[in-house]
Amino acid sequence: MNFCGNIQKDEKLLRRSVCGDDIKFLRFEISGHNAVAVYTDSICDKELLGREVVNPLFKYKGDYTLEKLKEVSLIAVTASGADVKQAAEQLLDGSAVILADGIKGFFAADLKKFEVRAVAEPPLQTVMRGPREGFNECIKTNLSLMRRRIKSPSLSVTTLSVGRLSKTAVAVLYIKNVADKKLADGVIEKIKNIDIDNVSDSSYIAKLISTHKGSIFKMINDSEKPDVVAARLAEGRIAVIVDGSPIVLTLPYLLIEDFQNPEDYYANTIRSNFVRWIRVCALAFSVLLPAFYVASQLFHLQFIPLNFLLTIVNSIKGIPMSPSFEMFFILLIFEILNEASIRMPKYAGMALSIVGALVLGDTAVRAGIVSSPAILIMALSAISLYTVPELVETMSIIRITLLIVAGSVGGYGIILGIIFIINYLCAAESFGTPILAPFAPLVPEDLKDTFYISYLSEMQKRPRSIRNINPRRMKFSVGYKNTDKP
Amino acid sequence: MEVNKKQVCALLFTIIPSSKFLVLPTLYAAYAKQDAWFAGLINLIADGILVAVIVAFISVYEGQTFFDVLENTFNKKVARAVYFVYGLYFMFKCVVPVFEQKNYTEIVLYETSPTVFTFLPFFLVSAYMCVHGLRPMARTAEIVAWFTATGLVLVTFLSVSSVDFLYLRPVLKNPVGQTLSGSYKAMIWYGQPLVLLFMAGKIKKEKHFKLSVGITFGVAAAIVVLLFAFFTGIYGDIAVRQLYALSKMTKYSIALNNVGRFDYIATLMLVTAGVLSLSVPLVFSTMCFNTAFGKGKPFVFAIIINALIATVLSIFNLYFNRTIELFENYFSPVMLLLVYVFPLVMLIIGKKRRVEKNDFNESKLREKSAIMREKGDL
Repeated sequence: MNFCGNIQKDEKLLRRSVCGDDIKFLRFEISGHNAVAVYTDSICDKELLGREVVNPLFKYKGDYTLEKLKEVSLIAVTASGADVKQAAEQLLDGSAVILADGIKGFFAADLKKFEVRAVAEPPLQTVMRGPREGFNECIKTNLSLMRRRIKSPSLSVTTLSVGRLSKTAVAVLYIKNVADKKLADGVIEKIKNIDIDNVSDSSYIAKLISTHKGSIFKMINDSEKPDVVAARLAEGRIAVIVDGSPIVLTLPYLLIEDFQNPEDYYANTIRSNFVRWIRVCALAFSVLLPAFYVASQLFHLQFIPLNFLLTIVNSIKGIPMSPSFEMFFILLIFEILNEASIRMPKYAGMALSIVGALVLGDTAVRAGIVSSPAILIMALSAISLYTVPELVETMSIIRITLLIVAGSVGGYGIILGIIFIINYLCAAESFGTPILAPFAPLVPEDLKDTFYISYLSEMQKRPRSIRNINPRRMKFSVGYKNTDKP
Repeated sequence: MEVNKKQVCALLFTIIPSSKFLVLPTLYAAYAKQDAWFAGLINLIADGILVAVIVAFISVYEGQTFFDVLENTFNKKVARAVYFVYGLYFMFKCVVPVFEQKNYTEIVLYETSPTVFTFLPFFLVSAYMCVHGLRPMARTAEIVAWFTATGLVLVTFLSVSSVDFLYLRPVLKNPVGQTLSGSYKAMIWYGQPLVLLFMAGKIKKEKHFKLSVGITFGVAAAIVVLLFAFFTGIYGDIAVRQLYALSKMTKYSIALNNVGRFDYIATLMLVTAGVLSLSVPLVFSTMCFNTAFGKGKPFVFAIIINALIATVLSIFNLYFNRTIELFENYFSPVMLLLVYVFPLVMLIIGKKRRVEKNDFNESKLREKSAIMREKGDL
């Protein structure tokens, strides 16, 4: 339906299309003609509307056409035309719609004003050294953070709208002369094809465009930090920013990314190597230790050194549960405590810690329900898992699965489980990129930033594992040469 | 292309040594005594020739799968029949190693519950790998190859100090006939490089492919021969009574025993490689049946094949020795034909065709130039 040029009828049409008490109508005159500025009270900047749109129009005495009126407004026009539906959409998006008597059309002025959280340090990806700013829920702020870090004209930003009800703005970012355009186009096409009523968070988009929907491992990575996203874009990846979410998606995803903490690149390289190895070992410990402990106790006593075996035997004396059930019980309690501590109000956290640590831990051992080594193993496993926080969800499931397998089949079961996971990961691809790269398929050049971090000056090429059209990221002359002497 | 050069080498490096250190060294010790390593060398030379034949085959029939070659040489029906036969071959090929690894798992790894059910989950993992096919398996090999390498290095390192090298002298003291007999009996543990034939046409064309495959095979074979020698050097005359060599070879690294059976880390790494190695024939069996029956669903064949082997294992659980005897007597001749002769025949056919094609092209060229000369163009 279109506007007819009669201000009263047009106003009625708009009222019928958009309902809500927060829709306001500000009447004024333009060159002696009646006009109305329609806006949504909660999301429109009224001060700016009065000063930059209504006031200039009120003072205007020139030609009375839609094009001329648009020029008089001092605010960017986001849309214009005669379609009532389009005007309503603009209204709900925060723009002010201007209607004038005798003009068969409208124009919308960009006056969005949302309450947004300030840019702050992200809660999940904290660093001791390096940038501390994190994304917030406003797509505009997030885009500005990205623009501030990549001031290149090659940074392509494609904005889409997803969700029949939410009309959530989604921006797809990539660097034109680095990223594979086919991949970027494919992602844009996939997002365009999403038909859903509401998009609450970027995880919705991740789930809807993911290549392996039932996978236990994620196929799309995310980050809360603009410096991380900028680095990933520079490697040829694609970023997806979703309005209303402080978490930005990046793809394709490689499993090794989760071991790469941003701080690794800001701290001393030798220290970073050491910490990364700690992370890898801690994760292996976390997943395998409870399973191996149970398997050794049940089936492979010869694996355990004699003195340690005696200690275990002394401490499990009188424990009513089997080793596997004992470990499973402790693991279950830990998962419950973990879940409760996340959901529980902060003021109750202290009480939970006391109950968890003292009542459930110490008292359970004293009461002879569980043994001390089992608690020790579980505590070590639980803490170790948080050295790679991005993999906590996945690895806790694998840990419990391996524990069950170890308890029923023993060490051979663990080996079978490991082979199964390796094969599963080898078969998984994130947007055409094997997630286990650069290990399988082996890309020797990319091993420089895996379990071993090379000096920054030696990482002169972009990772080959990620499809890109420009392999070189650093000029040889720029880099530090090992032969250079101070 | 489904796989690359590195993956082929990793697969070869993993499957060649991993199934040879359980029962095989004992069998060699029985026939060849201190020349056990030599008996192994003979088998490995045969496998080396097989690798050379298949690599030449891949080069002659560039870009063609084995099925394409069979179809072009004979017809589609014959190609399917051959694939069916090879499907059966790969299925039977894994019977002895499966029995072997099951017994090893039960006897060596488990102190408390030696039951066939401990081993049965293997078939779930194997079925999963069969469904996913060649590419994930080759990528898995890239990872598992590191386990194999570490395991072999550890076993070598932990056992070398216990070897009585003098026992191995003089070389070839044992009658050659007996040694050869040992090699023939041991044939069922060899022939793994045949899988390369079924990877033909699926391997990415890369530089130095032949050299890389050759070196990989050479290194793997050298380690195998070395460890055979170590085993007989450690146990001497009683080697024939030492089943499951893998767990026995590192046993005497006494100082390390104070921290538990540390050597089992090496063993477990090689068992990990063994799991992949056991799955490889089953994956190729699934592939062959899937192709033979006209690209159906691999899922069905994967389930059937694995269920069948699991059933055989459960029923004949106690007849391991009989099974080995049966395979030595009846499977070896079949294997000789399918693994060593047939690929060679196909290679000869291919080479002959290529020569004929070249001759045909040459004669055509000659005719053309003669015509041109007659016309006075040349």
